[in-house]
Amino acid sequence: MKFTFKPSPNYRDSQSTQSIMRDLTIGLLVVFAFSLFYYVTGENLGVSYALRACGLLVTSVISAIVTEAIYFAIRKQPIVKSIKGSFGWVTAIILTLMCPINISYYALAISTILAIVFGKLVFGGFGQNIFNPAAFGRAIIMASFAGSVAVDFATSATPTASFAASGWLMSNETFNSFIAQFGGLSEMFIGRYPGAIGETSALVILLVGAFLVYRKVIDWKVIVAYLGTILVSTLGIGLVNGQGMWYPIFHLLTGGVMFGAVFMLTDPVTNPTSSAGRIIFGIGAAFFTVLIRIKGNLPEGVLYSILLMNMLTPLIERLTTGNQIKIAKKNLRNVAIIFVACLAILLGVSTTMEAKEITINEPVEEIDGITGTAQGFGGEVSVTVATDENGIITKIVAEGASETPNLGGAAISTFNSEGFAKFEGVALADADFDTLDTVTGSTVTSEAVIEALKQTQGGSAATEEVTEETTAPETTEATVEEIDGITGTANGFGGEVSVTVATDENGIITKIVAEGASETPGLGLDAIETFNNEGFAKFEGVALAEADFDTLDTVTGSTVTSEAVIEALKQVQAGSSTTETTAPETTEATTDENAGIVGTANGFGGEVTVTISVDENGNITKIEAEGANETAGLGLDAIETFNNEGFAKFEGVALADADFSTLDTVTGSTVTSDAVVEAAQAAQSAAQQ
Amino acid sequence: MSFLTGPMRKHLNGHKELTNHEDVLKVEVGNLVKIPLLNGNAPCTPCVKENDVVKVGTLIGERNDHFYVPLYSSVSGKVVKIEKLMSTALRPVEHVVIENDGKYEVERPFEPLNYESASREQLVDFMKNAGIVGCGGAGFPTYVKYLKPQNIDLLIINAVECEPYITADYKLMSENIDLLVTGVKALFKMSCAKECKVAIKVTKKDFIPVLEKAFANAQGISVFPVPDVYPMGWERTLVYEITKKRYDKLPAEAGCIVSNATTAISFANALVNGMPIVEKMVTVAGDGVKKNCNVSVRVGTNAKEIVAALGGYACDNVLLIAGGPMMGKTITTDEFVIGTYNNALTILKNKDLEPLKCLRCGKCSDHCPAGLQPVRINNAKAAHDLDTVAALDAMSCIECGMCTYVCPSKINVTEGIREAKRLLALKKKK
Repeated sequence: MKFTFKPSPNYRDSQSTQSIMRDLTIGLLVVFAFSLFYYVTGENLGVSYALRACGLLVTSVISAIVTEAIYFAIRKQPIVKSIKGSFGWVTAIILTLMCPINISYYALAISTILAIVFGKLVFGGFGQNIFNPAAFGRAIIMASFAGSVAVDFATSATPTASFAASGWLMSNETFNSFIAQFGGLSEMFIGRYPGAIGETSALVILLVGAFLVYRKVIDWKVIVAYLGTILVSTLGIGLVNGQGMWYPIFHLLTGGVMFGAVFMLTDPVTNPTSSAGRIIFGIGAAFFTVLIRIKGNLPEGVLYSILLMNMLTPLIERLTTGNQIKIAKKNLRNVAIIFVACLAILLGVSTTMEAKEITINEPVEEIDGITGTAQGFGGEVSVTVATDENGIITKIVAEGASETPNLGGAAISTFNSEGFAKFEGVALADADFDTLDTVTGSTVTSEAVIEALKQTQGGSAATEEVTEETTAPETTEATVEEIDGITGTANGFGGEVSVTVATDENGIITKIVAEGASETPGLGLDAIETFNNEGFAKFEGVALAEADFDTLDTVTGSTVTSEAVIEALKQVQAGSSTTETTAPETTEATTDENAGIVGTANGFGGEVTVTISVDENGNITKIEAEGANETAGLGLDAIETFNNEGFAKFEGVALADADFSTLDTVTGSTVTSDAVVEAAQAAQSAAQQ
Repeated sequence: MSFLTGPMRKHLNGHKELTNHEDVLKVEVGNLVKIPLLNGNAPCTPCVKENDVVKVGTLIGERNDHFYVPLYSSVSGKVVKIEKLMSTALRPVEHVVIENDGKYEVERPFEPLNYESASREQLVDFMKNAGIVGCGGAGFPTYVKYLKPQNIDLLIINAVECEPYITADYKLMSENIDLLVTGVKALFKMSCAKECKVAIKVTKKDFIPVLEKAFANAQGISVFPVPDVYPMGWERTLVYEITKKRYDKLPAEAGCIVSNATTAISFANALVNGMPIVEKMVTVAGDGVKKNCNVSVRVGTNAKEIVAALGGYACDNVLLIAGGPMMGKTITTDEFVIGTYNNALTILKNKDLEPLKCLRCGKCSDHCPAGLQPVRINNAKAAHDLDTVAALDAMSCIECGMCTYVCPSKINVTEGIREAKRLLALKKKK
């Protein structure tokens, strides 16, 4: 019979560190399961995203366990037992959940290894680390691997990044349209919006948090102190800055606040051990989170608030030293002082907040055109160039959702609002995109934009790497057969549709070619191709004058384009007496003292002359256009319209100031109209010389 | 302000069902009866010598330092020797060894007293001479609390019995409800309190009405159900639960006197029957003993005899604990005896636990009923930082065992604090 001695007590709670970590792992996997659900069911996402999430999780967990195995082997500690008592997989899961879906496997693996080694093991392993290892790993990714992303997994702008770009202030109306992009606050609560893999669903995280609190795995005080302080301080900041009641709610729902509160701040190892200390810890973390958000350069403050408070943990412990019953009053006083001080500082600082012009929140303008892509800082940057039928650039839109807000993101909006303007009106083929004014501090993004622009120029428009918002039509300029003949134009769905009919010397149609670069790909553009390949064939061999173009088989779904083609064909029929001659682009301007300043340009049928009369002050008194060779009923009518109405608006305007590009062009006579404008501009520049 | 301190208590599985409804077994004492000359941790001096003839009730020893506590024989027979033997105080102390003649002849050491007619001072003297000690486990001489009651508002009768496994108080109360009422009334009179509350766990649903009925006609005495948490029976926790007051050293500062229910019954037995504490109700429970039940034994019965009467041990390697598993000490022999203030033997299978590293979860701090931060005391001790150990008020630890109990990493936190306290005491001596 053996009577063993053991010091009292000899009674133990059933809860063990292993069971705590098991519950925590289950909770994290539930959050992860929601992410998989979101990826599988989400718009523009799919199973490939879910598989990638699984792949990332496995990569990180294996990296963590292998790292620990090697470490324990080197330290000659029992490997399996040490790994079981080190709980590295929890760090790996948390780290994975904090990462965006497009993070590269390489970046995640490296940062997991560094987090395990330098975040935990070098301090003495589990229980000894100063910093939350997962937060440590996330910081490594932010500092070193921000650009290490998989390009084929598009991530759109997160609400946090977008909102941060607005300076964390927004008018109520703007917010309504802003939040509508993500489905409203309720959808944000549920969590179906772009963000880190496991950070989006406040609902799921709170449910898991409630389960973990019930199981006594985590301390509710940290969570309540943290979320409560964020709520109160952002409510105050919202009131100071005239924000609506949505403001504190948005602060709570966005970014990593919920995830950080439930899974990061409650990490016991890096927490103060006393209740009062943990309350102070939560208040302090909330303070740094909000401060970094409203005043820091980073879009999100949760991560660094955790790391900062980890550093302050020993200090908080010291503050709460003593018998907790005897120093309860002192603790209460300290908590109150810290809370009020944090609140006061945040409110004071918030008075200097400035709403920035919201840039990336604006829905990206959708234009049809040629799209080029290139790698920016955070991911893919795409540029779409729209041109008219002459290859003249009408609009350029750049997009790069993954770029750093305030830097790359801001650069892109600068390009869109200012930088690209100078290329509009320039022929795409001639545009020198190297002259784009790059934005200081965003070299990578700027260069990516230029590269993407050059791609569009080279005709190598990347049709495969099209991002969601932009669509790249086939470069019709390249494929359209160029024939000589009579051309008619009409407005299609997306812009002008032109049809050229070639005839032999007897007026018999030999070939018809339609073109409409601005038509919708897949619809109008396909229709035009169908006409070119099949529909027009039946008119070949028929005399142009006798062809009944109404019998053209229109293409279902592309009524507007079809009708535009028919209209253009009829124009050709009506004006078949003139034939297009391609003349070199020359403009001349002569000054005739009696008649005014004369500018000429090539129109459809020949030279178009514009004569501008000015008074002694340089103000326009009269403008007259002439173009005898223009097509009757089209170009000629247009010139008459300009003379009668269009030019009137320039009379009385100083010639030097007149902007002739604002001339109302006449539908169906684009070439003539352009020639008139060009001639007028030629006259203008001649006058200036 | 519990959000600043943590709950400072916790419900634990009491395993009370093991013995609650089992009949009390009377275990006869053997031929050689050894009565420890011990009160609490203080030794007592023998009043008998070899070959003296004693009867049940004969004075055989006295504690005579700043407190006076008499010890009486529980059997009749002849003193064989005075011998140093292992005791429940976890060290060898002198025992009076009596050869039991099996006759149990009685020699009343004092006459019964009517508490209603006696004066308060008479009652206190009577209590002192009857050797009534606190039966909660520590054996503190009860009369001391009642010597000069000043500004006492409330007498609390502690029937909480918060240690797991133990049901001795409950059994004794349910079998001696009249004595309980008498004892409580007498204590109430001695305390000069305005009110008396009998604190019992709210989970004793069947027994609370019985108590309420018993005290229905006693003015100022009421039953006060308390939550089923540990350590609800600790004076400070109990006083705070009932009055919401904290105190520095003695409950009297909060206007309270706290006495155990079994103490009240023992006192009543002395008042009514003129008998000191010679018999004890002892709970024997745990998975290390074959039969779990309460036993009624004479003071001086040794553990081996009790376990044998219950069918023996259930395995070869046990933890034999004098008292409950939280605060009771393991003793490495079963050759020790039941003294006047022992109330339980907990016998558990010895299972080894593998401690992990501390994860700093702070559960020990949250649950410490004394408001300490055990994890930090241990860390400071490990760093030989005795100033911080002192600043963390380690000396206020009552070794209730809560910190070890809640520790998910299965660390012997309480033992670490004991060491820290020893180091502090050593430092003070220097």
